[in-house]
Amino acid sequence: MNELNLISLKNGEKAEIINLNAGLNLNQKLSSLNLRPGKIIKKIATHPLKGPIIISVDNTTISLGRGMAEQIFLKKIT
Amino acid sequence: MKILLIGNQNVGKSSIFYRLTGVHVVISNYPGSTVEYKEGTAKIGNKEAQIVDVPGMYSLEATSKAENVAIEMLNLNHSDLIINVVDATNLERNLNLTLQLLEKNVPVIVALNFGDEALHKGIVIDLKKLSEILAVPVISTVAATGEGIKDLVNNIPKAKAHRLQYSESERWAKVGKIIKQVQTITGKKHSFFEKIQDLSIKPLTGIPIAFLVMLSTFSLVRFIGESLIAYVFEPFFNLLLPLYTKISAALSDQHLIHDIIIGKLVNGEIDFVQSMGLLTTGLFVPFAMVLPYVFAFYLALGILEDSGYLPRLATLVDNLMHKIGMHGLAIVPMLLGLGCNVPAAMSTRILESKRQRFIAGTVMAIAVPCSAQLAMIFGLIGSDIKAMTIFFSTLFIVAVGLGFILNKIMKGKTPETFLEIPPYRLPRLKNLAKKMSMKIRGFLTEAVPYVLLGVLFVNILFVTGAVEFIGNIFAPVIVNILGLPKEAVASLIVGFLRKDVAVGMLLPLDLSIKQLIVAGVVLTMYFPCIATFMVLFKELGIRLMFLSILIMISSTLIVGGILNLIL
Repeated sequence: MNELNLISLKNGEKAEIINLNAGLNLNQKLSSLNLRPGKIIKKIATHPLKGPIIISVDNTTISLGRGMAEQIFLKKIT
Repeated sequence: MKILLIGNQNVGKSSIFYRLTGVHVVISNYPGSTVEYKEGTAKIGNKEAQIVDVPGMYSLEATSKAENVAIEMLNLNHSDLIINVVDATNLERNLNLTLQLLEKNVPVIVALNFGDEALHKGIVIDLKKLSEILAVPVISTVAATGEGIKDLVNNIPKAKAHRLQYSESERWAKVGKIIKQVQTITGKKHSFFEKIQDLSIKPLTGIPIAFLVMLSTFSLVRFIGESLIAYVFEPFFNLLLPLYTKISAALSDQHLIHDIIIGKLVNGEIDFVQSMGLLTTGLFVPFAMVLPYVFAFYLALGILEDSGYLPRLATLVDNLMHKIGMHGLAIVPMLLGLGCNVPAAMSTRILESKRQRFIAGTVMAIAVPCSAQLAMIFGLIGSDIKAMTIFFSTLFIVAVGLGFILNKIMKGKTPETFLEIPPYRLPRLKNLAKKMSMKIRGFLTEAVPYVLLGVLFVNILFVTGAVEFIGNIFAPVIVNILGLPKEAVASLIVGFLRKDVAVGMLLPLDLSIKQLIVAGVVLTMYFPCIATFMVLFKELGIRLMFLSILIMISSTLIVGGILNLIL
């Protein structure tokens, strides 16, 4: 199975969002910034000391916490 | 007629608002720079319309207090029309909100903003088709230059109300369909800004860049501030000196009036800082000591705000900020606080939870000195690098320590960061100049009268013997714990009104460097000035404000006491 969450995706890699599992409220929040199933994202950076993860989707760069990142499930694009 | 400006964060609503109404509002390049709705009027056709700049939102479901304000506005007030501001570089995400607005049965017109940037990025949008599909007018605008605003106004009568009904997934499906029909993306060129964009947010390169940015900001502020003082304002006041000396001589047998107007002579001469007269200290402190730094600070902050650097800084410090009960974005109130604590207290609203707003507000009010106070501190101990280092590191340790403790003992957790990082934009000179002139006008109309009032108040305190009286009451604390002379109480009293005047009042006390450091730290921490207090009170409510004050006073005594012991 090549499904993984945003934490395990490596910096610089691209992946397609398969599923959000962050609870209704957070899912909605993520969706409103265009993080939703079907969208392709790129992981730009991971900040140390449990810092945020930086991704880009279309023309938007987003910084988000690890708890959220854990709940974003992806399929790697090769 | 009431018109609401609605759109995602950082899409240029405030710019359009300014273009429509001519009302000056703060325009910056970071999400959430508008935390309060602003109103103005504009002529639409031949009728006057009320325009409301609503804080940005991504969806009609609120996830923060600022968003809540926006949504409440939308439901509570009958609005006649919505101008939906849409970021052309992020059409897909923005259209989701557009479709939500089209469910509300209020006439909508779309302003497609940042058309120029979209073109740069190789994004072409078919306006006509988009307008056909949405069945509302779509007007291309570049709010920063004013392009398309006339067109927007002319098309307002054509705005149409709809009552679409979609579930969330249906809505996104519809958005997807629209995008396919109206948007074509050609080869993307990487601009210079896009290249440094990534470098400044990756930890390995971003952290050194952040240090560089902060260091150069700080140096710029000091350089501009000091130059203005040395080459413009001090020479100007020296020109006034002969006139003042004449006035002083003329009033020499009217002691009370002389003291109030010119103040006390120091060694037989007028001393602009120490004399404490309305014409001397009352004007010298705000104009020749504080204003230069206010100018320099807001210039630097304006560049940081407009370039889009702040959200990157917020991301870089996010992990550390979480350890002290806030997330990265709380760096914004801390930085704003270095200018003036009042807007800083207001900006805590960009933080989602009450707990975070309390921690940020309290830490800011205690440990962040405003530019007016800093300017005076620079004047007092600026040449002593060791003293300055102790002063700033003490406040830094207080901020971190206090945040750490509050984070440990307060119930609840810090919400995670979820922040859009805007693209870098070149600050526009016009916008920068406008922001600066707003700040400086604010300083002249709000701060200067208070400084004069403060100086008058000092005279009253001394003439009536109130300083002596209150000084005696607090002497045990001030003398024994803080190691300051009891006359310093006058400075602490005036500090409620103006911290810059309060710092200036330390000069005639002939304090040692150690005492100056203690007094500077104490004046920063013990209580916010009255204007900040009012805002904090409004934001926190009575219970939390009381708690905040308790923390202020107790931490001041502890930190002041320790400094007194170890220095």
